[in-house]
Amino acid sequence: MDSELVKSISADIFDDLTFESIIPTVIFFTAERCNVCKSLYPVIEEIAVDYNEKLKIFSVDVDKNKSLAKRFKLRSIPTLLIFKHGEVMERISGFQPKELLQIQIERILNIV
Amino acid sequence: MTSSYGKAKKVLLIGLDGADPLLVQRYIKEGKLPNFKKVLDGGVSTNGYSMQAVLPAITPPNWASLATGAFPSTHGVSCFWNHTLGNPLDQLEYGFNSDLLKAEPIWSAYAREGKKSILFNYPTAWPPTTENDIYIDGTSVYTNLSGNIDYEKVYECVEGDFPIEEISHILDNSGTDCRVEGEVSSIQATLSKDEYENYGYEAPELVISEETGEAISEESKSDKIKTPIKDAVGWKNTPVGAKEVILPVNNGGARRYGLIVAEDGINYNTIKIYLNKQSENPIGEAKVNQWSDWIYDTYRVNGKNIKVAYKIRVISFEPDGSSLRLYSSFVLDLYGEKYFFPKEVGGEIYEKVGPMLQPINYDRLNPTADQIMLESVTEMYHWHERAIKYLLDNKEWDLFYVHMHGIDMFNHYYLDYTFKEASPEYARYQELIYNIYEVSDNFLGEMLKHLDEDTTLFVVSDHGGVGKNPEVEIPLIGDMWGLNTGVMGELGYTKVKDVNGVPKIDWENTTAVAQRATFIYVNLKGRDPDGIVDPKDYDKLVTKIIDDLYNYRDPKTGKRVISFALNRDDMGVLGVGGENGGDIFYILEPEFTRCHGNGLSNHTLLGSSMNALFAAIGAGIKKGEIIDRNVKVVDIVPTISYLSGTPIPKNAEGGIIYQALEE
Repeated sequence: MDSELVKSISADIFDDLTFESIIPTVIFFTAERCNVCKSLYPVIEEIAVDYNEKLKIFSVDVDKNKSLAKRFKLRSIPTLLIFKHGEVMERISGFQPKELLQIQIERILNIV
Repeated sequence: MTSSYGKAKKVLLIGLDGADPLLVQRYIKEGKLPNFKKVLDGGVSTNGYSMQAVLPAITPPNWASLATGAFPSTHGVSCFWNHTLGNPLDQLEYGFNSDLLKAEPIWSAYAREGKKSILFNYPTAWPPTTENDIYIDGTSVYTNLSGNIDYEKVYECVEGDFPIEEISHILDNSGTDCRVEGEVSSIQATLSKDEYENYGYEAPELVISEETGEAISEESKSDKIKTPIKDAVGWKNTPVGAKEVILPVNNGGARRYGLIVAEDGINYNTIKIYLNKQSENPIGEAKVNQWSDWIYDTYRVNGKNIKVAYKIRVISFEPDGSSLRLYSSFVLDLYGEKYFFPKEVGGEIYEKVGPMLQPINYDRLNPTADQIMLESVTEMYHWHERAIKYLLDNKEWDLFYVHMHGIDMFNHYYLDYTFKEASPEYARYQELIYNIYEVSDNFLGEMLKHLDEDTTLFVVSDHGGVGKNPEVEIPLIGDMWGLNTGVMGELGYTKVKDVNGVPKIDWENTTAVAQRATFIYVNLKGRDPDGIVDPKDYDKLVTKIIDDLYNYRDPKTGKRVISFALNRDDMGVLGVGGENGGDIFYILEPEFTRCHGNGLSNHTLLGSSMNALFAAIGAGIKKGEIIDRNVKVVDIVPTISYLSGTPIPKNAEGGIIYQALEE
């Protein structure tokens, strides 16, 4: 799942785009084989448009980046990690409706 | 009534889990353990300093008996794990739990008189059952294990340019919907998912080999992180030639920055930890072969910022700065109040005496890891000395019970290797066993400082421990970590089937199972959920299993393995069983026993024993006498009650040790 809105990234640039990023970042852990991920993907794309200036969203294919899945102790996909101020501020697993994701993202964006 | 009645205004019980009187005797003869000697010279003990443990000689049942004066058949704590009849035979409950205790503990009897107790890391005391007492944890072998919020870590820092890798100590991707990887369910699963949700034990499963039994609980493990060392770039203050390394922390969710420096300008020898590259000062630092001081930090956990403390220790350091191996301890939640009662007392202790270092478990059986283990355990004991002093000096108390688990841990870790036949390093392992007795002796010395003319102090253990006989393979029966297939499978009572590659008990064809350290349960219709044995066949089956156990021979040596086996009625004479007891209780011959638990408490093997330790000193106690009577674990509580003039707990079955008392 790689698009202009949600670019797929790999382990070699992961830290620079997340921990080192000045603006908040959402990482969407996914896999081609995961149907729940496919249902969530359009929602993630919409959020990428809605929050264009405020945060960046990337996807990570766990089948191609097993080390990242292990590093973040993922139990299941889809999982979203929200990074801000150089750390993981929120972890969201499973399918979530857009409204709920928005609430959680807004909460993180509002943390000073 | 002797003049010693009511003479002890205060009583201290110093519980040293796994302390073997035979080793105490040997070390004292060698002129070591001055504080144990002080207790013996100024107080009383028995011949051989020993005390008879209740059966099985395992931690929770014995501390429960030392708390209640009752046998396991009465107090209900029957092994490391309990089983309640009527539940599936593979369903076990964690034994460090006061809810399992059916007999009145001594602190409740004290409370009835308006007297106050402090229970420090005491098995079967938690959750609290009295209102005005102080409880410090008690949910695990070590204090605070449940109060840690990040696991211990080993950082392999190597020069290069590669993505950071982190392998968790727990491999668990058993989550629902889409699994991250298909093949693994939950292995190395020590991360409990029940109320002890932090780093307690997960309920045991099927024991099909020595490796799948109790050994799981002793396995060394840590989060392992591989992270690149690079030239330091972008720092606010960078010494010439400094290198940098990124250190993931807080379950991988945050990072700290390590600056690797050569203090003499040539040899790299120090790592300094910073919150970020722009920080003015490091939050901690460690040098070659050294621990850092406490590093105070803030972790974000479940949306909250938590104040935490941890230490790092350099395991190895290449002087050219090309590689560094760094240990980072369990991370203590400084606001963690969950396992303290009243809850504020936790933060109060951390504030007054500092955080507690959890003993390391990242590796074992090599000189470096064993040395770091000893350092960490020693520091843990020192923390207890300070924390106990703080409580005894500042809180109201009449009775103080503490349980320390270092000796038992070292027994389990190292005793097997203390024989020439078992390890070329046997002398080093013997020394490690001595080291933990020395640490315990120093601890005892600190406790003796609280002794005055109105105070009595008891030094006791729950059992000793023996090393594995290098000449034999231990038969697979009596591993306390669940249902054992082995011998009961060979004898045809327990059947195992393969379910998607995982061995499971075939309950439809299983008539009896060996469960935990010493019990066999018949799979009885009407009682056990998957029962197949008709109640009318019960007596005949029990007799046949007992016959078969006696006839069972170790395949390698041809020797009998079972020392004795008793049916449900007969086991009562040993104080074993009770309403949830097994249908057969058995004990193994000494040379086939595990460290402790399968043997009688008087069994000895290759220089150590399973005996419990007993000595007492202070108000109302004779001075410098070896008394001529057997002392049992259940006798301690009635004796304390008598000395302090408090009511004997309601269910106590032991007797007052009159022979130890001043007339």
